[in-house]
Amino acid sequence: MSSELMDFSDRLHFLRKWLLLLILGTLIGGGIGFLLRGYASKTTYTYNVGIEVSHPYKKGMSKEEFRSLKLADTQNAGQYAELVKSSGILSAVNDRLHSQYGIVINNVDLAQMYAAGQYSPEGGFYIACTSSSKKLAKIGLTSMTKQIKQSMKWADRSVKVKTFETVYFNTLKVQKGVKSALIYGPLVGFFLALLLSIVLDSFGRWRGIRNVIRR
Amino acid sequence: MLSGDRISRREKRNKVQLMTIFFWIAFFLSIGLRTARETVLSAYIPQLVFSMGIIVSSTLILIKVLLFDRMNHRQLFFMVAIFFTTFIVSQISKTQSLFANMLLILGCLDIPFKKIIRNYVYLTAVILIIAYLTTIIGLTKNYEIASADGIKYAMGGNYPTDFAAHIFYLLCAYVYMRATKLRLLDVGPLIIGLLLVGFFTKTQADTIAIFLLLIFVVIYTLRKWLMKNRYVKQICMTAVGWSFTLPGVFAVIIYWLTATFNYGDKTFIWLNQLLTNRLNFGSQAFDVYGVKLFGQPVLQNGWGGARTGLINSGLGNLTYFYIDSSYISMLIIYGFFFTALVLCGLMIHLYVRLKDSDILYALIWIPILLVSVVDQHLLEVQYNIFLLGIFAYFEQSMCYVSVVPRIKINDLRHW
Repeated sequence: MSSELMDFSDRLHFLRKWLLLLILGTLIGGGIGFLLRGYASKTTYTYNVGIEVSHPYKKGMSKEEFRSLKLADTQNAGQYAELVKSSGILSAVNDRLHSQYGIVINNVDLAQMYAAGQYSPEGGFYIACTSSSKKLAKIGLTSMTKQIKQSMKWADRSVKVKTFETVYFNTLKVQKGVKSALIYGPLVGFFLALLLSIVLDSFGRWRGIRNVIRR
Repeated sequence: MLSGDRISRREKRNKVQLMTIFFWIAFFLSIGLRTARETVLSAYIPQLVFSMGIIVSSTLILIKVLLFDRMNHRQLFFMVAIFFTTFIVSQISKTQSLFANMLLILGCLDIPFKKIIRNYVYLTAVILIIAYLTTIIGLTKNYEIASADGIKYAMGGNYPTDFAAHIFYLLCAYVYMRATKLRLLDVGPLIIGLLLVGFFTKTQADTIAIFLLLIFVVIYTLRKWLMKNRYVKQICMTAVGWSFTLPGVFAVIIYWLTATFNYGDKTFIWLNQLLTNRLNFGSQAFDVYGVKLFGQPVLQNGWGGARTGLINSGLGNLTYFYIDSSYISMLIIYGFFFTALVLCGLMIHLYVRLKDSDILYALIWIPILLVSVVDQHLLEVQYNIFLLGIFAYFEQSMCYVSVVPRIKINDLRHW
């Protein structure tokens, strides 16, 4: 590639020169993204559940101590969401799925089904289980919820773990195809076209320099 | 004609000055806020201020790169490739800080690396001292963590290991800042740093890394005397000459150890204890997340700083999960493509610096790469300021990134 320096105006000129290729790249990327979304990816089903974790008031506890305990529960709720990706819990869920439903799945694939995070500033976290099988999504969520409740109780006997039954949780979400393909398709197309145009432009300049030297 | 030339030169100088102002504002904002956030001062920095600071810093860098920087086709190609990859990876892995870090690295084009190092040393030292002073006067808390080795003090940091890492990277920067004037007396600050980290934070990895840095500084300052021996010279030159491969070597070693780790092997158990359970967590990460091409979001809980108390409770232990190794976290969170890009990029960069006979630079990178096997700060610019060297200007450099018009550098000196 040539080492001729390009400033802002040169780069604008470069963009104008290769505009057609950039538009073409974006359109092709968008088209591939559209096809991927429509035909190459399956419809997925997601079940959600909300989980609230709290420590009850103990005898002899001062008001200040209880308040700080509540505050810690609220602050840590997001971190408890990590449990859905815990190796030990996933193995236990895997055993549960195998023994109760005869489902065989490896831990990496199982972990990909789950998402979790803090759902509100008041405390608590959500678990979402996504699968292309509606039944597996539901079974997966139930098994994970049971396992998390059990593990948390084993770790801390004083903790109260409660599942949420609200409008936002325990509802089914259906996603037809991979939505991100529509966003990333044109973006990838544009950048690849940009890289190609830089190479072509540089090659053209190099050719020009070579011709001048030959003459 | 002459007056036209003068106007053109004045315009160029103005442009360079503006470009430099943009960079340094972005640099101080970004590094200052990020460093302060790693200390107890974070309690006084609202999230909105931090986010706005990073947005302003990234915008200034973008303006600098798009409007003012001059680059050849090769540089443009690499910049677009890095920008694009980082953008996609940060979106997929939901780590926006990675994108801001990478922008700062790209924004270093034409900026003298020595100035970057000098400003980093002063800025970080001031912030760390202020943070420590606030703990002394009682404004903030000096976190203490009880361990088998005794009590670890965070010394104004959010976590003892964070403070230790800051001291280690600060000492690396100090050594390179002294570069041409480096004398045997410069081991003084290194010994003080070593004692500080060793006694107060009790962080083994950083203590070993500082000790290694100390040895390299002694060897470097005594090089003329040492090189008189033909065999010593041969060994040193071969070792330093091949040091550019270390990013790949360390990465392969830790990937292999983590991927093959099992509790059935006594050697692995011993090694896992030596690395304070890092092999186990890395292995869990491989088992649960696997390796993706463009990364994935990973939930991590360190339970450091203000939440230290929770780690001792059952729930704390149940939910503790942290990938400490920079190489492992890079592969799992940012994906294979980005990891390959970073490792290859680092190896090429170190090779180019070695070809330029910048031996001290290569020597400083050795403990950084070694400590990154067990530490997560390799890609964090508030710690590893040497990442900014990838695109920065080195005097008497022959690397492709510094094939820049010399007039800019002259103007920078004026500035």
